[in-house]
Amino acid sequence: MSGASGLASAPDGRTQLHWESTGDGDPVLLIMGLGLSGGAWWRTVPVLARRLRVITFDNRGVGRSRAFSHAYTTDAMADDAATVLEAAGVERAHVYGISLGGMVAQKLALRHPQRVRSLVLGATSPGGPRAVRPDPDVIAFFRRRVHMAAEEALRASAPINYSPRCREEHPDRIEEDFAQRLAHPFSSSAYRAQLFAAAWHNAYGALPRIAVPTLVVHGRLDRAIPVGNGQLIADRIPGARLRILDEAGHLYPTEDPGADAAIARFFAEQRKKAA
Amino acid sequence: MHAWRDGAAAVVDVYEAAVGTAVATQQDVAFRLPLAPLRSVVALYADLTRDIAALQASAVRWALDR
Repeated sequence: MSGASGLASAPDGRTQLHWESTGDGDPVLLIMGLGLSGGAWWRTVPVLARRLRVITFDNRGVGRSRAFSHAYTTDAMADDAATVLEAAGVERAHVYGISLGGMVAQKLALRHPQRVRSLVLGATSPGGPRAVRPDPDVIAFFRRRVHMAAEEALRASAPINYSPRCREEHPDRIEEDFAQRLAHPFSSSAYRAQLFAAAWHNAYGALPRIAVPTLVVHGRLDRAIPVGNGQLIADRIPGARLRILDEAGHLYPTEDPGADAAIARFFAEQRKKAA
Repeated sequence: MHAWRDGAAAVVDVYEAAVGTAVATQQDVAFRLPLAPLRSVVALYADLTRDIAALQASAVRWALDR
């Protein structure tokens, strides 16, 4: 399995985006969510890299990437994703974004449609007034999280990110996630800037313009971004398929190991259709 | 949706497309500039144009999508 990595420079010349590539085959770009580095895809990469070239990157301000501005938009982050594809020598890729990364993936498909072959939108929201809001205590946690120490924040986020069943039956998986995340420093300024991007994200009216095969994946027990948002997105994108994971919460790749395998099958299906 | 809302949404689409073209042109100009400080200024202007337009479009769509 071949690998590569590099730093991509955004047009401003100061925003630097660290990216990594694993495996061979059709390229797939993975876009991570709020405050997490590309390394948080550690469960998904080995599954997809069996047949695909998997490209991950640290969003601006996170991990080994650097940001120039202090307020982000999902439009800017989508342009970053296009910059990463350019740097990796990829003209067109399958794109899979989760949570905030799913919002960025929507914008990537709208702003750079020539770059996207197919789309997987995991545990994400279209934004706008029709989006289903999380409970007030979840919103309060997102605001409070910036003032918390890294490990304290991770543990406090568990009831929001994982279903009760996962917390009861698979605490080992959650601990593995925590260990992975604690290996990368957390930037509170990048977190704030990303929270701003998520709050202002609104692709609801533009989603019908997305013209690539799309799979929407959502955990029914998602507390961070309620499952109604997945249904809204699937209703708005022509021909989109919706896969609801009955037992899963927000971070479904941890809770349902079969989810990534199903996503790999979706990408393989697109390849067969194109052939 | 009322006809005027469809019309307004179409105007937002056109606005976004026009800003996208303008930003791409600014970034292209920045890329060709030989002096780094000047390049940064033009690129920063392009970023601001993109991000302010994104916030404007989001706010207008917010009102239209209600």
